[in-house]
Amino acid sequence: MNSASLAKMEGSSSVEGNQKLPKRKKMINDEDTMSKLPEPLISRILSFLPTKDAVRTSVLSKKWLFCWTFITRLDLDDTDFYSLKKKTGGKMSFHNFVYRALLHTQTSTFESFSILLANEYDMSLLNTWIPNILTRSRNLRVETHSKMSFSALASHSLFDSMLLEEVVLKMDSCAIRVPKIFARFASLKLLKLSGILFTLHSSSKVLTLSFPLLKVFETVNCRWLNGNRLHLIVPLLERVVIVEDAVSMSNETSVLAIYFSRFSMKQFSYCGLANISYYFKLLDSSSAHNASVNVVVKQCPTNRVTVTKTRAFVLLNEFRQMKCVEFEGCEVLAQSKVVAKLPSFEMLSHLKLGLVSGEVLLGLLLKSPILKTLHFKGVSTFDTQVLNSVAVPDCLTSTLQVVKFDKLHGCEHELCLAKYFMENGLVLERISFYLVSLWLGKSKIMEKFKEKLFSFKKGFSFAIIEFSYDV
Amino acid sequence: MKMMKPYVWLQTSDDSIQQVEQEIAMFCPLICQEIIQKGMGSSKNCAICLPQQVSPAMLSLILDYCRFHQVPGRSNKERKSYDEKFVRIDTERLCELTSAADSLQLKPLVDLTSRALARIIEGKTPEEIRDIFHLPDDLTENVEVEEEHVDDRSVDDLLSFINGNDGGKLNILTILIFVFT
Repeated sequence: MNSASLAKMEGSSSVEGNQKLPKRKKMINDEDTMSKLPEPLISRILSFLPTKDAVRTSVLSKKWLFCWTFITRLDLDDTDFYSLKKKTGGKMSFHNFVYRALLHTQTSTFESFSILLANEYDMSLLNTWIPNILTRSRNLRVETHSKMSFSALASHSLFDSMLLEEVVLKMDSCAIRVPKIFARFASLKLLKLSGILFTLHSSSKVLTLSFPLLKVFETVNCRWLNGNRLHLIVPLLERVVIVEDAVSMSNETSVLAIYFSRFSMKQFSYCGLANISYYFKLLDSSSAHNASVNVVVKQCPTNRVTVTKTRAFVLLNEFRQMKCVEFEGCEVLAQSKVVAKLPSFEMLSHLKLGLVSGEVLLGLLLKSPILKTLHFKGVSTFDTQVLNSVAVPDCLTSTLQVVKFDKLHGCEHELCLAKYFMENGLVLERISFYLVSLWLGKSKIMEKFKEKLFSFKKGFSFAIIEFSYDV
Repeated sequence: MKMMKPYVWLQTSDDSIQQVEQEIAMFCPLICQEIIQKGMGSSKNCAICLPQQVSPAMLSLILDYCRFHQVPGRSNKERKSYDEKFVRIDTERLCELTSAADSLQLKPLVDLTSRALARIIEGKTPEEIRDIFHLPDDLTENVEVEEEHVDDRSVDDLLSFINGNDGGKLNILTILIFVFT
């Protein structure tokens, strides 16, 4: 506050002073409302306020002077310090605010601590703050757009932390040197990392991280450099999300395999822009029973097809006990002996695919004996003879109830596939066709398609066949 | 059937004694401890003495809260809307309630009322807050006198301060200046 507004405040209090005096005297006799609250309770209330507002309460009265210093949450958001009216001081006053918040708070352990930097800062500052923050907080959130690298002290305090329960680091490009080859995060339950480049310790090619309580593991565009294996011991892990969609990310020196130990997960999701970057392995009685798996590979450049193919098959093999799978980018599965390479998916009941070839689709159906619903977004042209070359998959005759045929063009090979489902799907209850465009629905092509479709012999006794245009 | 329901005897700050359903009273960790560890509350003669902060009015509010939340099968939405209505009381009673709930170690209610009080404070000027909570304005004089002071410690000083050397020594001055920068 500057002196002008201070003067204004004085002014207002002196003007109203006369009226308020009797009232206030009465209050003091009554004792003030808040004095019913002990100071720790006031600090607790202040913890629910934005930190800036909490600090402001120190001017209220003598009793309140230090209450804010015991708050258990710190939210340091630099956008609070930039206003359109004030042209200067935003950055500097934020600096001061953070320093003093760290300095004056007497809380030994913060329930939660977040520091959000929308503007550019000298990252050595963050490096001086982070070790202090890391040793004092249970839930930590750091967000910044600036490039930075953790100092040795900062990395040590991260990997030695015993308190941390939830960590969210959203960085644009942050280099962290892992100071050891084994680390245990005793209390960590949630880990979400974004834009972090870890460099493994030079003494080993393997980094082992133990998370006895971890439930959520999410990384977005993170890399593990200078090693070949990341080994995660995660007995309670429920959700894994790995996203790699930054174009600039090089693949050359990153670890090649991620191993999960003692892992009984419910949800696994991998999204890669160009390929699958890792071999995923499940070790030590890990299982993916009832898991739902989601794999997206957007465009695989030709030079990486072979390796991505191998990794895709390794992944499917490791997760063969899954219940639901969504696989986008099935081209990486296309190869001559797809059936022989695929494991048997004994538990799989829901299968959702992106654009898929007839061979791969048939291969997956043959390997999924109890499949209930099938959804695919388009079928690429394929040799329709293949449908008659093998036995009808078990799921078609006994379990498959719903087929969703997405991105329909009305082509000949699509008709062949539809015919195959109509004739062999003995327990089908619903077949839905989603047309690729609204125009198609009104065209002659569709008319003919329907006409032929309804003329086929039907294997099921009663089923709904629907056509719709999906936006 | 109703007679079978176990009751527990509670004594509030005005020395009056009342009988409440044990099931509901047990929601409060303090009462629960008294019953289980000390075997208190089973008769009028050994009623559980509640902390000074718990007046009969507050006890009845707290028991309402416990009674609602003790019923299983309520949806989160129902609970949330009940909570919202529950804290729509005047500030004075809200403070009393916070303090009473805290003395009974009823954490969910303390969080609920604390959050409500924080909402009252948020975005208000110091003068407004003082009015709401009837706080004595016993600092304003100091602010006027010390307004010109500037924290002239260098960043290094602050750093060594932050890193734990003599972190305990605070002075009123720095805090005040901090607020006004």
